[in-house]
Amino acid sequence: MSKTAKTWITVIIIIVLIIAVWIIWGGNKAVIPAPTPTPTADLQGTSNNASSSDLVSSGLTTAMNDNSDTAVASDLATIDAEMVGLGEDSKSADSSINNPPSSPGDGLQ
Amino acid sequence: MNTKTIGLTTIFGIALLLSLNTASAQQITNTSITVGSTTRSAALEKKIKNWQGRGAKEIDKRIENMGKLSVRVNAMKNISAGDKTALSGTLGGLSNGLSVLKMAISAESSTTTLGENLKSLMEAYRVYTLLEPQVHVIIAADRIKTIINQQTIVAGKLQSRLAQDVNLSTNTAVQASLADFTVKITSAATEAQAAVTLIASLKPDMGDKTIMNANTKALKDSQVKIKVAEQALKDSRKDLQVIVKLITTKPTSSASSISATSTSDR
Repeated sequence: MSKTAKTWITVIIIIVLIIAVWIIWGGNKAVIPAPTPTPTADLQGTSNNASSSDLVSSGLTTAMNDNSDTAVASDLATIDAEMVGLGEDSKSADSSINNPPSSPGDGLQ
Repeated sequence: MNTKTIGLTTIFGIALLLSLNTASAQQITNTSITVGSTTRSAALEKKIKNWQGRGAKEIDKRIENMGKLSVRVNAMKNISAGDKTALSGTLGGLSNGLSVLKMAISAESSTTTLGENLKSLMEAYRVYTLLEPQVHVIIAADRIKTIINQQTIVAGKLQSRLAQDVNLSTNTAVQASLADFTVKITSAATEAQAAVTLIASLKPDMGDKTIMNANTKALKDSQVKIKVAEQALKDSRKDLQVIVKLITTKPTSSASSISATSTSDR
């Protein structure tokens, strides 16, 4: 075997080894899972957490307390309906007190 | 023997004939009585039918009203389940009693018994004439309490809104409306409770004029209290409206203040 041939074979082996090492090392590196942040770490983070003032400004607190104009208007409409009902109840009470039904004995002679 | 037999037969026959004649005469007499009093019997029959019809009509009217009242009682929101059951039971009991009475009246042909039945209807009538307005007052008082609760919730919401704006919360009109609201709500609650207290322990008069007058006075007084409470709730509702209007159309000074605060925040 000539010296040139030996040199080429050596070069090829080295290249094959390098490729093998690269594949094995690189493949393993790709399989290693990325570190998963623990919930505690996430909750303790600061950049993406909303403060209480953020909640207020987002309207969430308003929705929870139901103090919005729409909610109040709805409440008042319910009250007005009940007031109408109260007027009817009052009239019924008034009628039953001041205009009792005729006695079944009246005129039975 | 034959003569004797003939004689006995003749006597027997005469006696039989006399007996038949007497029975016939009695029958004729009875018929004649019936015939003779046909006009009077028809009038009596007409009277009985009239009494039965009127009794049935009055009973039906009361049963229908008690059914409606029972529905309203079950829809009440502020009395205990026990009180609700007791009240419904009273209404149901009276209703059932009247149904039984109606059947007895419709089946009765004796004027004496019919008269007694109608008399018991009068007694039931006295219970009914007290129970119906009593329940109406209780129902109205219950609704008043419901409205008080609803208005109080809305007032709380409005106060939360006002708390975010110092100038608006200290606004004279707002303060006056809130103060008046509290007075009116308190008045409504007091009057409604007093109305119920007035009529809660009344008993049917059962024909006693003194008790009847006392019951009527108590019922009328309670109705006056219900009306006072109703007016108080109308006034408190107006107070809420004033505050709502001030919140939705903020005064100029308040608006500028809010604007300044916002600027300083930036």
